[in-house]
Amino acid sequence: MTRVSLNEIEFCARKAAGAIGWPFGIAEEIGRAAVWSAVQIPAAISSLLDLTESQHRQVDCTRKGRTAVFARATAPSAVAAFDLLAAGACDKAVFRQVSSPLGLIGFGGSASVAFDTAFRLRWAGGLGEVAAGHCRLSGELGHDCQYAAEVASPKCGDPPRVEIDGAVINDAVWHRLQLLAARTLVPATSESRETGAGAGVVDRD
Amino acid sequence: MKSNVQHECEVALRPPGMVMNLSRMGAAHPTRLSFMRQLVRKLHAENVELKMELWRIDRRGYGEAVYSFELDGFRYGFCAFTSPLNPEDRTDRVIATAWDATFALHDGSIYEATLERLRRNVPKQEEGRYRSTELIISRANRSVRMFEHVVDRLSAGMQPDAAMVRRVGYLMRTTAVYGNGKFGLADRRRIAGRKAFAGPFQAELLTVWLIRVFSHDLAEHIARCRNPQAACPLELPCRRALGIGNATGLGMAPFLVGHPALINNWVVAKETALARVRARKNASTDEIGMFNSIIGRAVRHVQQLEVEDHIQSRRNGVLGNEIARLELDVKENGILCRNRPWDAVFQASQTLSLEAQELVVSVLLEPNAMLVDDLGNEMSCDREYEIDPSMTVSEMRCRFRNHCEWALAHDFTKPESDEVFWYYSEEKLEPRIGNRHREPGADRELTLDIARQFQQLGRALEGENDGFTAAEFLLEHPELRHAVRRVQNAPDHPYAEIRGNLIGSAMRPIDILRYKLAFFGATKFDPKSDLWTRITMFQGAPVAADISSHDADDWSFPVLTRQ
Repeated sequence: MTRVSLNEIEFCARKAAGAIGWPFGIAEEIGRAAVWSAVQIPAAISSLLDLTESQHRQVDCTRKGRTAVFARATAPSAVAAFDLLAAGACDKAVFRQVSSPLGLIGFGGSASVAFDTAFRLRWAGGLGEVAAGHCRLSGELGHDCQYAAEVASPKCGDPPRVEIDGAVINDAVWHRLQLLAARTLVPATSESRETGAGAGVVDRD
Repeated sequence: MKSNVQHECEVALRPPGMVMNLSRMGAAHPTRLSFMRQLVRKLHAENVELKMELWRIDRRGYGEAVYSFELDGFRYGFCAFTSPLNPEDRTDRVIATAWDATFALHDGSIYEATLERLRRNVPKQEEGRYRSTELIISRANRSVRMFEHVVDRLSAGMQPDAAMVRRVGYLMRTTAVYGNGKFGLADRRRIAGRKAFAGPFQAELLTVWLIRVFSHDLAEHIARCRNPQAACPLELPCRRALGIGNATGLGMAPFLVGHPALINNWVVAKETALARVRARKNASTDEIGMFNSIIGRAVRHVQQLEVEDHIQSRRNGVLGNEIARLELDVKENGILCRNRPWDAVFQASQTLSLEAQELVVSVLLEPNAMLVDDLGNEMSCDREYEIDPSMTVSEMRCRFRNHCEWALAHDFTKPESDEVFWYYSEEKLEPRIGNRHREPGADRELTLDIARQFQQLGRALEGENDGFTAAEFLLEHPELRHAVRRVQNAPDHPYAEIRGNLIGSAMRPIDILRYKLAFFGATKFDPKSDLWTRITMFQGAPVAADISSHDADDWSFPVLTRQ
């Protein structure tokens, strides 16, 4: 296990999302979700990464009355679902295909901080409640399950926990994040070396 | 998120289109609201006493040192490690791997076990690993010419040559200062609640101030070792005149773009200060005296600037002449005896160069501490923008039209309008810019194309249903989420956006760097290209020996006089 700062987690997750090809606005949400997960439920970061690495680029959503039905849980569909719920544009979001509910919980948690509300998540055999300052899970964290999220009453969360000493993260997950993030770096060339600040100056003074 | 500053002034704040223009940003000067000024006031008010806990440095100046101090009820340790540096490794660039000296600011006292851990990591800088008890790490190289000169003179029992002190201005030059969670360091939230570090970059700048202290102590130590009988210490005026240098490159630009709410708060504070001062009906004799003293010093400060860059050199020449003329004009025409005297000075500056206009802003704030200094408390920002998913498309369109149409001025069908892309290199994450049409890597560019994104959002909003919520809009346009976030927050953050095209061929990164550095409190901008600049920090500021007794604010526009 490695202790890392929350800033490292946020930026690394954001860069990893960028490397995978998500737009910057979505990558920002992934970074926030990773921080919330790291503080509240570190085991969720791996699942969050699974969602982030999903190959499905389109947000496939249909509206049935006050329910938004997403074909599958991906990073942008998770962001969209919590947006719609917080906006009151729907009462319930359902994902037909979810690789792991834990991956969604980080998005719910960071959305609960952003929108000052709380969310209840339900999946086959399990239940989760997330708010800015807490995360309560019960039941099984099964795979490939049906999943639904419902808005709970606003402002019902505990105050956010202030984590001042970073978070402990699984070595393999941290390595995976760093490898992905490194893909945003541009290989150096002799020409690019000359466009770095300080190029061409011999520091003798 | 929104600044708490109240705009209850009879004079309007300067408009964002004027203030956030790249050319004007590139002419910014430090003010009494700059973060170094705030820090020194705080250190003075707290009567900070620095104690040297350990000095294990050899006669050539290599080894380690530890200082400790208490600030606002918390104890801190500061350690320095120095080692020989091959001349070919001496560079200001991020890609350097060795330095003359490396430093860490530690939360608490530094005991032997901690020192041992820091000794193994701090000299490696980015390659080291840190704990959340480390707040800041930094490194610096000696200004070889200046350092040797000072040691030579002190060892002979003489003070350094005043002209050389004036020209160079420092013994060491920092090349990076890292904080806020980098490499395992403490996240800002660890210290954000402490009074001493509530303002922006206070821990970083405190570290720089401590490096300055160390650089003085190191030079004196080597001089004493060379000639124990004759060596003398730096006299206080000379010690104050020796600040700390810095080389700053492209990394500042992504920071400014990435923290719009924070930048807005910085600018609102400064512009509110100016508006408050301009609204004053009259000025006291003391204030007029102080103004006359400061503007005279500003003239001498500018006249003493020596830079190689021909553009900056020409600008400095014009600036010196204009401010000298204004100084005369103010005295001869009784401008300060008029109604709203400070506004009269401000108005008189409006026909001058941008450099002069912005310098006058700095001078005007100096005699008005009572109106200005409290605004320093409003310059930090705990949280950046949130999205409002319930905002309607109609409202977003309205916000775009009222606050973001500046972005439409750029024609992105022209190849030169998006010629530049910003990125981090694989080489030690050095920030660089490339030519999109000639170099690889544009697919990994940083998000600094705000004007281009705003245009895309503006077009997408035009075709949408008025009653749609942002959540519904983003369902169709997830790629515009970042732009939506910024546009939604624009009315409450009028100064958040740089009103320019940061990916166009005409963009000069140096303008962005200077703006941020001026807020830090840097002086003597000495551009080495459009990409980076050298600066001087804390020149003229009180040192450890007189931080409690010396005037904490009497060091703007530092001028060196022959002793």
